Amino acid sequence: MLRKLVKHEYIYLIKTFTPIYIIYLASAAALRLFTLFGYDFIDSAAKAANPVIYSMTIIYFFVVAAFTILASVMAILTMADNVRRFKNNMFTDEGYLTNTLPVTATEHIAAKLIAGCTNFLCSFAVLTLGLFIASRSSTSFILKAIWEAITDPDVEISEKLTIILLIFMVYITFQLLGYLAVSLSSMANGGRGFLGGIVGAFSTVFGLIFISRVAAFSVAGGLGAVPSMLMVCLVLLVFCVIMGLIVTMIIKNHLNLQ
Amino acid sequence: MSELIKCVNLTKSYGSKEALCSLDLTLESGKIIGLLGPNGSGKTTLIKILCGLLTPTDGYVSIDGMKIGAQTKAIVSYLPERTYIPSWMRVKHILSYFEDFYADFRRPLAEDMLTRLKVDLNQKVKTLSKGNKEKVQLVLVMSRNAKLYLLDEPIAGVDPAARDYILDTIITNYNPDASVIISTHLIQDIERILDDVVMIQYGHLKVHGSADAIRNEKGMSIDQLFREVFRC
Repeated sequence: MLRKLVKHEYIYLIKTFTPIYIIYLASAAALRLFTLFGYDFIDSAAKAANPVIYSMTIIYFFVVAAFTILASVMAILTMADNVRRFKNNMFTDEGYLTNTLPVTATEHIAAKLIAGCTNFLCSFAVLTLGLFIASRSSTSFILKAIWEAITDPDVEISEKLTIILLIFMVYITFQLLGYLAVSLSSMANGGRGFLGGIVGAFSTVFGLIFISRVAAFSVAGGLGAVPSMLMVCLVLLVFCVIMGLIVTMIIKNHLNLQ
Repeated sequence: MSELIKCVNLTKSYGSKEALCSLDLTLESGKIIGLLGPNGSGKTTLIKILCGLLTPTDGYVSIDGMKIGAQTKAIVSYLPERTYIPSWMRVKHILSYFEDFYADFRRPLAEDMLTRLKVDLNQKVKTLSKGNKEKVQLVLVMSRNAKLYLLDEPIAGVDPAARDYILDTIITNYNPDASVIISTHLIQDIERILDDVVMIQYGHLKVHGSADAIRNEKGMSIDQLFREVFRC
């Protein structure tokens, strides 16, 4: 049943995110085209008196803005959409369909996490591809800096992979925190929902402080960067398991569809 | 006919309010059962417990000898009073969805019924009218070869012609070895199809028995009995 749940999550993701990816890559290609035709933003300022150059500058500005906004939003969008979808599927009218399927609460959560992580990886890949396409532009300093950080030969592969794992674990942690927040707020309207939000916010702050202390302790204890990051990943994993168990318990015993 | 549903001391509380109070009820398979009661009597709560959307505060409930869970959800076909189909789906997608998760789903039957209702399978759910959405949901539920059908207020809010259509669809397509529980307070329309009657008020069982036996014993229709039992 888990496989079937994941299949239908993927169908939703393909329908929803393919247009966003296409627009993002198209804007990256447009930036690249500006470079190929020898267009330079700084140089254009000197030629601003020329109406054609002035118009091209405006278009270039919007293309850069679209590309930058989409690149920035994509990571947040994948997480926010996954949590929104979890809430809609489990705790709104769609819950009458989802919660009566012959699957367990654990399978529901696992399917959403798998879909969310796949979406995160796809977004990461598309983001990187877009950066690669657009980074040749001599005027996109930020894009070049990010691309050069990714391809820096002085940083070891193990460090890069550990950083990716850490980003991945942080993503899953925030995703589960989102599930926990919507689950707690759905248990009752009004007061307990507000309390759920307070608990969620407190957990986030406490969790961040605890994790930063773990990282500091690891570094002070002489552990290298990679072991320190792995230690933080382990702590995040434990945090995720606890949140997953709480969310499962809420779905099994405290569902409150109106 | 075998025992399909068994409720023992079933209680459900929402805070200080008791929606179901120590309900003892046994229902057999192969019957169309009317779950009757005024608003707030506990009908929907009982149905939600049976389909696994709520957990009892106390007591025990089983379907076909199994505790409520993923296994019972596989043999229970539930029609809520709300629209639950995701609006981003097309009609054919929700058919595939049901086909994937329910081994007893009869897709050719569902497509045939939808075609006769002139519902385009490629149409997006969000573009369907409210009435058509309800019909699609009914078709999905009745196209399953389930052991238990739970229909929560299937004829509330629809016109008389649509009510007849819904009731005929129920009778024509359900598995005759299964049981159908229809929750409603519109007794007159469904009385003709009922085998058994269960009346609930304030979470307590008031009346339970064969519809014919009740009519013979009381000398009145189920609708008249309902009005007498639940007189304000």
